[in-house]
Amino acid sequence: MKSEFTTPCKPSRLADIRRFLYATLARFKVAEGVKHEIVLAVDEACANAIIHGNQCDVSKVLHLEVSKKERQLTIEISDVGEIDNDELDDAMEKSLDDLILERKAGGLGLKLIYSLMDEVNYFARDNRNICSLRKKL
Amino acid sequence: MEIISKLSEDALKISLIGELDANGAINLDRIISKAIADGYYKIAVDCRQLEYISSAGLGVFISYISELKSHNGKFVFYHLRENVESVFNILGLQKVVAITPDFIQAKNQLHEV
Repeated sequence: MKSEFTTPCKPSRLADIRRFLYATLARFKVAEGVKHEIVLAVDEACANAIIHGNQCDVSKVLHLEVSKKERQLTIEISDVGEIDNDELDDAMEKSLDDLILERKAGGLGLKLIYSLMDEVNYFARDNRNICSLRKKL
Repeated sequence: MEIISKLSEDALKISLIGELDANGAINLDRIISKAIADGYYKIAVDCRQLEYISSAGLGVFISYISELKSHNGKFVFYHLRENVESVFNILGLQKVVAITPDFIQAKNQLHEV
């Protein structure tokens, strides 16, 4: 089972991405509670790619591929934006208290992604950045 | 996403309606920033009609927590749906902001500073 969605890198399209995911996960018969966790994690990954990786450049596109094999769901989000691995590491190291003190909120999305998914991988393939998220169903 | 803000005495009530994601967070930031500039440091957030929240939405509140605290103010969230409350819990936000079941209790909490 596989489902795909492509959108320009525009923050207002995040709602469309969530609707696509809810419809796809319903078709894949994913349980209600798990469905919300997956949608939240993918929404966070897409928001990072659109806003930080591609600076909301609408001439660039974000591609999502959702597939289910036996009891494992895989979501691949691909784009041509830039990934700053140091920035990712810094964001993950900040505690909630650090963020409150610094009056910033960066890195919360990554914390959600890693908390909600079983496997998270960032890598490059065919000149595209791939964020691969896996969840056991 | 619709945000309704209402001023009363020394407090601001914000009602969030719909889905608060990275796109809607900009407008929320503008509203809170203006309220603080106008001297409102006690903010009740009605989440009854909030269907979804992402880290960008929560991030707006987090970025103002210490400023409100420095003026003896705070955020109090009430009427949270289960899926919204679970996002607060995953990030540990329930430890740093007040969450109450309804507006009456939210009002009491705001004035307990």
